[in-house]
Amino acid sequence: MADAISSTSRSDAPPPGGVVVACQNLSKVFKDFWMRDRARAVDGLSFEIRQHEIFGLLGPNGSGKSTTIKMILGLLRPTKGRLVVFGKSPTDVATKKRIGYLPEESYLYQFLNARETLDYYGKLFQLDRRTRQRRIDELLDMVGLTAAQFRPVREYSKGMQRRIGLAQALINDPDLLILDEPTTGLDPIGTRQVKDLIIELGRRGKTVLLSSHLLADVEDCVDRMVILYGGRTRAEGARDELLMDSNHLTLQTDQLDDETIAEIDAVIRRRTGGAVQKVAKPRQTLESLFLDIVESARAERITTSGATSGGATAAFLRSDDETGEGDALIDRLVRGKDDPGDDGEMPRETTPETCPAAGAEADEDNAVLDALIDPVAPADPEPTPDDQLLRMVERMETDAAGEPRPDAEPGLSPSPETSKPKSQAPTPPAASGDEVDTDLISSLLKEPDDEDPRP
Amino acid sequence: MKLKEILLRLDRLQHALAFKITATAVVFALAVAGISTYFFAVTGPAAAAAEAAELAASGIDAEEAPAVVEGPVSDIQRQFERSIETVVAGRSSIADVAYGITLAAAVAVVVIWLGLGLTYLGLLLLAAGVAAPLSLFPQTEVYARVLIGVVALTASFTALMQGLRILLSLPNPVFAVARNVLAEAVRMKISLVFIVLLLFGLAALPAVLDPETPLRYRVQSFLQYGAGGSFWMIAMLTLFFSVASVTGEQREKIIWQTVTKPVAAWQYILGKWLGVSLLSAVLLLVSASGTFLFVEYLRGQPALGERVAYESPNDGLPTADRLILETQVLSARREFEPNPPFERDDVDFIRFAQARIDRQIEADPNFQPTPAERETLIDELFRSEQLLQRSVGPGELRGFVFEGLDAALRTDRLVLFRYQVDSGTNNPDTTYNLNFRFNDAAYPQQRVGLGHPHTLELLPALIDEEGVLRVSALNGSLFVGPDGLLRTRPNPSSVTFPEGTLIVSVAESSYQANFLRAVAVLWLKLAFLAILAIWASTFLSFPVACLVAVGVFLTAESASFLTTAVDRFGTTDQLGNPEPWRIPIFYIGSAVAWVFRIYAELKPVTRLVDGELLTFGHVLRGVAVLSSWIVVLYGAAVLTFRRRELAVYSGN
Repeated sequence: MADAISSTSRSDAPPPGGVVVACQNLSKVFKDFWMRDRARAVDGLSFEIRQHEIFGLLGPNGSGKSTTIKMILGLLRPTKGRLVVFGKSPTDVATKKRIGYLPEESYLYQFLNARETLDYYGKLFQLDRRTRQRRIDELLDMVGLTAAQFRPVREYSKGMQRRIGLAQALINDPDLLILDEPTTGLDPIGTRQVKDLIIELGRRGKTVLLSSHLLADVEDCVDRMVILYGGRTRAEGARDELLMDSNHLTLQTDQLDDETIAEIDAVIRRRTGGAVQKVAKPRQTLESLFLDIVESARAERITTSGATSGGATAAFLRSDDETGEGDALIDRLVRGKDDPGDDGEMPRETTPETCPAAGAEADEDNAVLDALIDPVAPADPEPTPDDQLLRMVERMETDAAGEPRPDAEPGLSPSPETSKPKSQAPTPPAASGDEVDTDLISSLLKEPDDEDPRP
Repeated sequence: MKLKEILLRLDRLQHALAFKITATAVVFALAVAGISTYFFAVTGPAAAAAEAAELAASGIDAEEAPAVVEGPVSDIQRQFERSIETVVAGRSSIADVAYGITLAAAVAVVVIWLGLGLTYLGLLLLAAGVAAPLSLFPQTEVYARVLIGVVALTASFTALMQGLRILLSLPNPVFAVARNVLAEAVRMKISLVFIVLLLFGLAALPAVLDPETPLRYRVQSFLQYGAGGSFWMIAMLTLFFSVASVTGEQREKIIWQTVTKPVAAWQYILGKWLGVSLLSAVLLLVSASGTFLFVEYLRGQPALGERVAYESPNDGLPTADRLILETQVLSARREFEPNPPFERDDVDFIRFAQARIDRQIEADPNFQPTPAERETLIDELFRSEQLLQRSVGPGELRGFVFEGLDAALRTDRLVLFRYQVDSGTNNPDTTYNLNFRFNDAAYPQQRVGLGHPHTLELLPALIDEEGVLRVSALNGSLFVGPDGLLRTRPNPSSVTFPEGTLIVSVAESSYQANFLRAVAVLWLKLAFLAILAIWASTFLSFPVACLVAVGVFLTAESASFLTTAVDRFGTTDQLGNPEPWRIPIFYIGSAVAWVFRIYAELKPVTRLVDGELLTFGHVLRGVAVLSSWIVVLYGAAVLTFRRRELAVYSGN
């Protein structure tokens, strides 16, 4: 699955459409036995999730993420406010046909095996036997549990249970996939696969609501996000809008000698009056290193009794074979042409817009820029998007405590301007250590065929 | 090849269509061969020769033997013979053997088509292989029987569960939830313990029956413990398992993933109820089949006084043990009490009672009863007068009329007349002579002990065409005096037939049909218990829901006792002075007894053990009442479930 998806980007995702989830002034107050307010989990929350977008719900523990999700699923009733899912009440049974849900922990029937679990949930969606069997086979292959499919779920490790939990959330090929802390308990391979799957589903026009406090998960996948603290919205907007540091630029090239660097520095000084502030060799991420090692072990056919690395994304989630799920059509519309060789899998050619965290690309990155030596004193390390998000949360905590804000970075203010969602296509995420200004590179490498096909 | 691979291949084979068709053909051929062989063995020349040899040995000419002795035979005599024939009808015949083989073949075919043919064949061979050596020694013979019983019951249970799993495999939320409940029941330990206990207990029960006791008692004991014990065990399983299944899903949050799928509350609750009810139906069916078949086996054992079953040394007349077993235990009798000489609201009786009270007031001016007290006095007077009508003075004759006995003429089975006489302190050493006449036909004089019941078997012909039986009881003995006239010798004192002890009972249906009705009623009770437990689980935690469900169950089962207790409890002390603290207890008890009165009246196991008819009226009333409760509790459970917020706050 990782191979198939790592080379994809969100650039060919269908454009955002109608509103799938709409929350307006949503509040949830938990009361005690005497009907006194015990906890205000969500307080006046308003946001919209549009069709085809991957939406992140961020916040520290207790910020109201899970409560919001449970209200969207009809597991809790709002105390106040309006909540609509697919234009209907969250408790409407019909809407649930279009929703897939992965709770923050895998709550499974311990006496069933993986296959029976998926079969049970498939029957709840009234899928016929043939469809169920096909989807179960594909999902088990996708999450790497084919070999363990007849073992009772109670014997599974936490990671394996997460995998089967994810598979059950996808059994109905949902239009809206709600993932609550989806990577909890997963190993780096599983985490990577889940992130790739989310990107793949988003590319295929699914709407995904992703809740997590693992910021790297969200950062890699989402188009837009809401950051909650104390049950209230603290920031909302497109990911890049929130994370981009528009005052700086990172340029990545093949290795350069000192002379060339000095020339570049001179050009910059001459044209802008600035200077090259930092020259560094990008480091491989630990995730990339880990994935490389496991990939090598797999190539050497070292056996494991646990979950294997997952296979390609289930065909019914990728293509429009006999299920008529329309993904191939969407694919054609997005690409603007028919691909005669398309077998439903993702294109594998690498473009400058590829997901930079993929292992193959990390290898390429290692070969680039052997030594760019900082001619001046070493600058402070560039803040990564993770750092930025963490700082945001810290600032919110400060705000909540009533302390004055020390700074006012653009894009972080919860003012109406900045919190207004953007509709432009999201840019693929940049992995830490691989800072790339994709706009600049895209503009340099842009060819007529790579025109954004969106209207 | 590893054993696991061999087993996997065999499993694939038994699921193959070709195997199923072939195996079905083999079973069919074996069944036909079995029936034919038995038929020819019984009716063929060899059997005829053996029969002739037996007759020759007894000195009867074989040619004359089948001929019935010609001559005038009274209707009474014919009816007596027919009645005796019905008694000995339990003996197996060619038809019974044919039915048995056909049934076994049908079961085998079902098992084959469930994909369990080779599994069961292997299990059967394994059990036979272990049981055969055990049965060779008297000390271990009982273990062989228990083993066979356990294997048979387990095989029946697994086959029925497999059948249900197939039936519930449709892609429908209700069926999916129900099927999941069945899987949970088999795979979770608590349910499995109950199921294993039930199967082992039922299989081991025959081993504890004392072979020295009369056959009728053995049959009654087995029915009581087999049917009654099984019901209680399945009832407990139903209650605890229902509660565990519903509350467990909420506690473990598994419910989140179910209700976020397109499953409505009504579908979820219905699925749970259907699953538990089907599980209880399977367990009840297995235990009831085991009980029924073992009772049939016991019935085929020699009764007290018989050397071979159904063969009595009393000139063809059945022994007392056999007669009681066939007419009183393995029967479905309806009981009739004599018509009361007058009703409580008869004008004449009311006038008589008012006059009596007025005389009392005249005699004692301080005695000024309120209207309510007057009614109480009239009730007491009615009871005492009724009892008086059941008393017979020394040497006197008292008549009783029983109506509505038409069924006896229809079924042509022996009618039972049961009575008890009390006299004075019921000295156990005293016996009285009593003489009865039934519709002008005299019955031989009876010498009876006091204070315990006696039974007389009557021919149905004694009942007149309108279904009426007039019984005259003479308190004394009859003898022919020196003058040639019939004279009476009275007993020393009056005798009384206490209320509820003078009964004519008529077999209106067969034991088998009664058994089926009893099983149906038991299942209905279990279905009610299932929805009761599920309803309690929609808003209570496991221990509290168990407490509520078990409490209601025990209250319902003891409602009959509660009714009697409440009647005696009253709201006044023994002197008739009102006691306020009794009032709430009395009314609460009365309300509870009233709510469960129909449930309590059903008494399917007690009726089965006593050979008492469970009428279609009983069954229909039970179905109506219990179904209404099931619908009400189901509606309440759905409403509660819909209103609940299933995700509880788990934040800090």
